[in-house]
Amino acid sequence: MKKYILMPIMALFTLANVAAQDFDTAPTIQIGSKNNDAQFTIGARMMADVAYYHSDFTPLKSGAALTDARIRTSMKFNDWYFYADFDFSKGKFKQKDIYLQYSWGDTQSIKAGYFCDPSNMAGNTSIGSYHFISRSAATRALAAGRQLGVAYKYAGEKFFANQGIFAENLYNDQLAGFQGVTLGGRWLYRPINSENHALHVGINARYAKINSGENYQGVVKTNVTLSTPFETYVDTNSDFMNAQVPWASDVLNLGFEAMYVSPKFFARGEYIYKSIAKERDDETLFKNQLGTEWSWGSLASWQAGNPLKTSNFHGAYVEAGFMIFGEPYRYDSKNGIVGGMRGKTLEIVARYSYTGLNDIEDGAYYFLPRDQYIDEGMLLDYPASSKSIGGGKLHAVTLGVNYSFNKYVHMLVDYTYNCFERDKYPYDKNFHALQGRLVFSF
Amino acid sequence: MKTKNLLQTIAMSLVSFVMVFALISCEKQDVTNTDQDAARIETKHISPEMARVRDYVPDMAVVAHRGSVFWVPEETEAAWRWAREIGADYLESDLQCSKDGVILANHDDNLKRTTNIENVFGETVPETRVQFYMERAGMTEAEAQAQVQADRLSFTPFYTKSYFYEELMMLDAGTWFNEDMPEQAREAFSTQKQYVSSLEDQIMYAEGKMLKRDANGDRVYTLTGTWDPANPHTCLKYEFEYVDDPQDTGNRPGIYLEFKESWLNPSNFEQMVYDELDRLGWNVITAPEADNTPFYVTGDDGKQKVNVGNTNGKVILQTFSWESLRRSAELYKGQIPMCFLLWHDQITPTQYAAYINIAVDNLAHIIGPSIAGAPNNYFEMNAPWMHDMIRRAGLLNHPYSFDTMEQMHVYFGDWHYGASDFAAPYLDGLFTNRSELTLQYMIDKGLRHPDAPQEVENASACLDRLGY
Repeated sequence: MKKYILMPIMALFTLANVAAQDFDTAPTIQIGSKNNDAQFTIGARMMADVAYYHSDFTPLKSGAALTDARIRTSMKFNDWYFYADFDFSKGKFKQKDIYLQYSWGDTQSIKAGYFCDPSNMAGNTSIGSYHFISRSAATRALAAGRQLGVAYKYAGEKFFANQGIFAENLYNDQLAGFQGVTLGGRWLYRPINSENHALHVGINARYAKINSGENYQGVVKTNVTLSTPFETYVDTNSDFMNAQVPWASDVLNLGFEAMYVSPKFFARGEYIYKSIAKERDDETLFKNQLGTEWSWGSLASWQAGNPLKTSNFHGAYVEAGFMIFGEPYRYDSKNGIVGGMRGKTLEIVARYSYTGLNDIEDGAYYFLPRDQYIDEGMLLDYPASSKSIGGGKLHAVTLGVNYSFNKYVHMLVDYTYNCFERDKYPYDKNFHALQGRLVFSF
Repeated sequence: MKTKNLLQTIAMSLVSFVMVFALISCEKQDVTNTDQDAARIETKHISPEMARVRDYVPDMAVVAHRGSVFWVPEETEAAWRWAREIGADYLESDLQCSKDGVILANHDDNLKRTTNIENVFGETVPETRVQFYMERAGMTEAEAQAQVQADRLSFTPFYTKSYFYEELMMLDAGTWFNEDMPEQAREAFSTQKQYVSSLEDQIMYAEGKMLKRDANGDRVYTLTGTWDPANPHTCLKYEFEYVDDPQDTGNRPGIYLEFKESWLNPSNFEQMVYDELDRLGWNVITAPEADNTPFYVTGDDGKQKVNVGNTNGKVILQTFSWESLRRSAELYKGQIPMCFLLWHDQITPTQYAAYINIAVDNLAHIIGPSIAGAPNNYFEMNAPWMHDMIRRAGLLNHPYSFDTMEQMHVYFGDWHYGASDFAAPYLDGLFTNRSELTLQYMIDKGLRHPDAPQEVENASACLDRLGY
């Protein structure tokens, strides 16, 4: 009984380092067994953001928000590691990472549970260590997030490979049948790899088979939403940059990345290409529309009036940081990422990102009142269904100053200029965001 | 000591954070304000050439919507004679086409509501068509039977394009009104047969004429030509006969013609109308009137008359159809006033501006927005900011359709008490089912042109006078 009372007290006053995955900073509180073969940690993180926006036409909601309120815990026993992380920000419970990992040697591990798909660098870098208030819009719109699955990782000195297989539908709540599957991986070559000096180049890929959707006229209609806010978490409106891709079947992400880290400087960037092939049960839809005066008369005519094509999108970002004083930048060789600020540090950072959610047919006419593209290129009363998708185009430039008071408390200030273009919003071109963030993490 | 430093650090951070937030809170952030957004949007503007054609249209034009749907069977001889006599500036109609190319007026996409077609023909090819083919196509009875059998295979009942105009003349377009509107019913709407009107009929009524009828009360016409299915719209020729309307008091209104949805009509329908206007001398592109012809004149009897039908503004075109708007721009080239009709729920200033830009791009001169309020309760597309946006584009605003005095009070701005950011009235003309109310209202408010008739006949008395 005494042990159970003492444990939490001990936890509150124990300071040590144990590797954690999502945060990539060590939890402060840990409890170790006598012979140190088992460790239990508990930690928390808070992020409060303040933002002021200025826009040409549509106002964003300036203000403050608690954007992150996490509790994390882990258990380590020999080569086994369990991690769980939950978020309560904005008054809502959100499931974050929860997984079990087994490691062998210094280089290999296998992980099972719910965690970030390995197929992109930014997603695998904790937002608490990111050096910017938000990941790039390109990442948020096009890269994968957390998935339920299994991943194998090899993190050697020169080569890094992390790949996994994941469920397409976390809760298996598809209408019927198989939910679909995702395969994703990231592969790096590291000609230079030390803690404070590293260079890596790599590629990544992800394939998703989409099977979950809604019942639409007797068939399953899938839909993929690609969207992102303007690199902020205070106003999370993602209507501006938003592409709806119906009948998505096979989603392929291809990307490449590069990173350079030195003690006082880092630069990293990714390019992401996303191709969404479509599939539709035309024959059933055609048959189900028969029987009215307005029915299409043949399958061929129905298909001509409702054409499908593969949609393609892409995005990229380049980020750099320069440390004015403080703890040197650190390359996390285990995960192929740059670590966050540690100890008293002052840095300046900059980013350019491009996000392209438009895939518009050449010469298509856009009828704004109904947010409708007419691929025939002129006003028609009954055009064929459009193959065009106008989800928007965004160039964003961010300049930031980050100060870390100590290993627990950081402050970030970012200014972001968003140059936005979307047919649906002809009067919204320029969005300016001045943001601040206070981070407390232990 | 470490704990103290940590607490100091946290405190400093929080203070800094609060200060930043307080600083930015000094500026008030507006929520979306429709009036302000609308005022900030710049729309396209019509060209000087387009403005010249726009000015063919009289200010505060009173457009008799289908003649009237309140007093008379819509789009019939009774409706347009009444509208002409009551003093409307325009007789409005919805144009469709018969199988043999007669341009006619019918609002709905079918003829069921406004005629007795279900009783006369049912859902089959008219039985009289065998005889028609024998007479008009020189077929034997067997050939005619075979042709009718072939027609049946592709027959769509109740649509005007499925019937020869001679078949449509068998229909009664008046009696339904007496059944649907018992308080406005008049026996003569049945006994003086009301026809599905042709465009030529409408123009003749505007010119002060009426149908020539035989002793049985049937209209007099001659049909010549041979039916040629390869050339369906020009192979037959109808010659309708008209007489001077003895009740004509000299008003000469214009006509306001709607191209209906594109699927109801042939793809060259705009060209057909162009040619028909040409044939009847009402195409101001080929037969312009003198520029200085007044909209209102004083007649020989010393009374003021509507004279719009003798000016270059005698024809206004209108459509909801995007396709027809584009085709009209290509054909008419903005040389006849064109109204783009709007129908859209919950519209934003951005969307509204887009409609206006589309109108400007496609050589329209007028926007025709729907108005709210009973009895139709259409979408509100004529709020003050909307009218302001239309005017800033250099376009005219002709909202549809007025049925009550309440609606007039609203859109003439009586109830805004001068508080709106946008000056009333919120229209430049209007479609009305109650021309008599609208005219009297405008006269009372001093909004009717001083040269226009300043007295409005009692609506019911007018119908009595016209013999209904």
